[in-house]
Amino acid sequence: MTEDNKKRSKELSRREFLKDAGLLVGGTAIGSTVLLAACGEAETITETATKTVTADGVTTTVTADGVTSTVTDTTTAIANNFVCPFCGQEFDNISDLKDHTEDEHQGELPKVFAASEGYIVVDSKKCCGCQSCMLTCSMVHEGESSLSLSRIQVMQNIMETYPDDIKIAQCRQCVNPLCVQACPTGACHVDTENGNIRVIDGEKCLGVACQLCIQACPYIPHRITFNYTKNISMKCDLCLNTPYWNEEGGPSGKHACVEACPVEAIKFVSEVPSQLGEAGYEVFLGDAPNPNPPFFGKSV
Amino acid sequence: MTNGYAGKILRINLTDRTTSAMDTEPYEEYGGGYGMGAAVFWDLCEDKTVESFDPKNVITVMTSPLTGTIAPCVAGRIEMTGISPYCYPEWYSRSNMGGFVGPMLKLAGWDGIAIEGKADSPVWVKIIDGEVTIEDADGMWGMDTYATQEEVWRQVTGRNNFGEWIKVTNGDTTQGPATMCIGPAGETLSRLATVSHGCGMAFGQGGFGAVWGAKNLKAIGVVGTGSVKIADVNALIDARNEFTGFACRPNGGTTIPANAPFRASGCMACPFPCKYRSQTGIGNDSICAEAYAGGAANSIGVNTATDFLGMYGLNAYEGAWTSYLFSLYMLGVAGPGKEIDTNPLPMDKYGTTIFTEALARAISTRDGIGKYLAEGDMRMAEAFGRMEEDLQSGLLFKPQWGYNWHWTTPEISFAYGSLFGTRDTNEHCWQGNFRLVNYTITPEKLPAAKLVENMSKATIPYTDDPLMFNYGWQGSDGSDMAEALETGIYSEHKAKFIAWHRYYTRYYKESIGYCDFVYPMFAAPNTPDYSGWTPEYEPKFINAITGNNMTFEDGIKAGRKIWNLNRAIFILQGRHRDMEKFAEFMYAPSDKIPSYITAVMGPLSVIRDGEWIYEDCATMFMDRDGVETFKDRYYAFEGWDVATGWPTRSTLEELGLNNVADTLEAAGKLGNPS
Repeated sequence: MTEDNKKRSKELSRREFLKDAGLLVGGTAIGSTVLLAACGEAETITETATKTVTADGVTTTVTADGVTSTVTDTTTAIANNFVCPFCGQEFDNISDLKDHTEDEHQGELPKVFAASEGYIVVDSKKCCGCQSCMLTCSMVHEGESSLSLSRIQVMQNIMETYPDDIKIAQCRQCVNPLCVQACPTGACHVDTENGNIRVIDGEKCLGVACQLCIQACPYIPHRITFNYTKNISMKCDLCLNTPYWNEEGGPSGKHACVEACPVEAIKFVSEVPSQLGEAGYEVFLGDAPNPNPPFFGKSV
Repeated sequence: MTNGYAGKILRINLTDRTTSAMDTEPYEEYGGGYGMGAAVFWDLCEDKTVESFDPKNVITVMTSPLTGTIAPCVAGRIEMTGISPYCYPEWYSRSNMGGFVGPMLKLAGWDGIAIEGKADSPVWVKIIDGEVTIEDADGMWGMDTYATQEEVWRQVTGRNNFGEWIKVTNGDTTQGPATMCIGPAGETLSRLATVSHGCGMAFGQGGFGAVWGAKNLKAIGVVGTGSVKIADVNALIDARNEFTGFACRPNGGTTIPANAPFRASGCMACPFPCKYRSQTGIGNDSICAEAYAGGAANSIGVNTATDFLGMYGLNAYEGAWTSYLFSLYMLGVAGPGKEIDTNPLPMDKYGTTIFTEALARAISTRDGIGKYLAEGDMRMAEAFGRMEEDLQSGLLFKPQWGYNWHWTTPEISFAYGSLFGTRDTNEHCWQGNFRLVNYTITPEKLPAAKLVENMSKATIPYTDDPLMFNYGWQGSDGSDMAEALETGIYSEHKAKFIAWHRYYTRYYKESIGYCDFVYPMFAAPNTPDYSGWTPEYEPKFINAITGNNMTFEDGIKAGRKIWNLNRAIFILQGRHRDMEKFAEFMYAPSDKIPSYITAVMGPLSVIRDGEWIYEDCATMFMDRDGVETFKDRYYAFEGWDVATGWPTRSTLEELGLNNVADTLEAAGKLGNPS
């Protein structure tokens, strides 16, 4: 087994554990996104230890300093704790938490997030429909060339007339990120150490059983890309985590879709675009290239 | 399975409406595209002497390991082969198309498709990842190619435009299906029929749309949610960046409707989009020859004409230009009520969209003159007893196999490549001289001696023979014949170059799929010595994706194998040295060469008194004995029997084609060793 495979295998078992744990929480709490944001017990645990729960209830815990302990329990402790997103108080079950938030926090807004330090803006009218951005996005993140695994989507109807033939759908890194708020495990979170980019930690994602981030995204098509092979949600991380690319991403780095675009129809900006409608994210980035450059200065 | 490949080829048997998968691996040595298609055709088409419309004809549609990646100007290309109804006489032939069908097919998990048999009623094929179903196409039969694609989209996704993600088989997608289909012309078996995709992309040459029609196959629609595995992502990205740094945007030769807002549009992953889509929707995605269809004179007329051809599914380059019919009309031979009755075409409206629509309709319904036009110009001339006379005069301007004159002379590789192949070879981009113009490298910047030096360094393994690039010909009075035989277009040097060019294009252009329009093979504007990308970049992209360590020469060797396999198929179909002759007009001085040849092609490299110069060779014509001498030299270089043009056993066995040699021997068509 190579070093890489070892790492992946370890990650997988760790994620499986979190998924098993999360299913209990996520499964009962669908429909209440605010509450779900609170059920982040699994996250707390993983900061100090890695646990593996097998089907027969054997829990193996590896703490940060390498101590391994094994206990057998048919109920998992994590699932019994439900944390209020407003005050942090813990409850034994979701209905108690629901009652609590309705009684104590009626009308309150959940946590306010710091705005992202970077955004991708596009010019769908300038786009030439080559989808290089999509294939490159998929490659640098997943090591494979794919349309379905891309976190930016260029949708094209080649039978349509300009400009309705192409629409680019990129993540908006929303100032008010509903996907982050919807996530029950903290997988979809604001990365405060990296420019407040809204990212998904695949290791904490519950996968197909949850998909609340997908339901929460208010745009069509939704800006979450679902990976069925890995059973995780993925989203634009401004190339923060691109294991297959030598370049550094993030707010001050390079961005694969921007680099790949041959007609400069995708741009990275630091200022917060207008959050109203599409105007802030769908901008003018210059005239389309001429498909008929002259021969020796003359047209043929 | 190697990275870059999906690992499976889809076999569709239309007769019993079943599908199956075969492994790609045994065919990987051929690259993909044409080579893989020819090898699959060799294995699956049991009787290669059948006619094109016979259910036993096998159509292959193949991608390459670069399809569906970001390798520039190659990722969207896909190659179709099979016995072609357009060739005169019919031969095993090929056509190439860009767009999105190839990538979608790869992402669906298929390296290609082999279509066999014939359905007993109209069908279309739905491919959603690994799920392939043969669907009833009764309701689609008769639809034009645009409506067919919209209908396929509706049937695959329940809508006919993009929107929210949808879940299909094992993945999500925001994309519609990539569809290739035939129009009414294919349904009525016109030899001019295309297999079309989008508004302006098509397998144009070869008339394969009619083979689909004969097989009752209306459309294939593909959605792929999978991936192409890439061996070295960084190497691929770096190579692409380097490449786009020194290549240059080509001229698409399109005519964009005046005052219409537009975008440049291109194939999958192409950094140099050569087409356009405008707000009018007129002529969208059309390029080059199709943008001059039907003799229309103004931009709206041209583009509308293009749309009629696209919708009916007609080849814009052959026949649909109707220049032959128009010539007969101008001579007074053809016309309403004349010896050749042009009804129902409004000949007095030639050059207008009214004419083009009537033309497309007449061909597709085989109404009146349309019955003859649908068969292509050669067969029409034959039907009217004019073929010999008009090939002699050049009125029927088809140098070989019924295909239109293209860059045939003075770009001699077009002439010879077409003659030893089965169609207008249509391989532009290798021509350093053509690129000189396209990339605005002037002769002053790159003198002929330097260009020839660059080229002779690139043509591995036949390097350091600059005379391979000498376009010296006999001259209009024949006074330069000795030089032409010794060092020029009939020489052993030229034979070597033609062989290299056959191998190069067979593998790198037609099997791997590098765009014939964009790649600056021998001259690029942004390199220090104006050298092109050959031979460095061809293997670079392939290796980045496959993880193999192939050399440029490996590709040339594979190309030689493909070329010999092709040759064997042609020979089983009846090819012999005696048939490889140009049409009569090619052997006589002519004023029929269109003026744009000089304007666009520019002067060619010629050696005079030991000095390389650029010379305008536009008036070049062939010498009959010179061509026969050239054939002696070329066949000998290939290891073929000089008397027959058939490969010998030792040549085939050297290439690992032992079974091919056995088959030729059994047919009594193995060449004798010299």
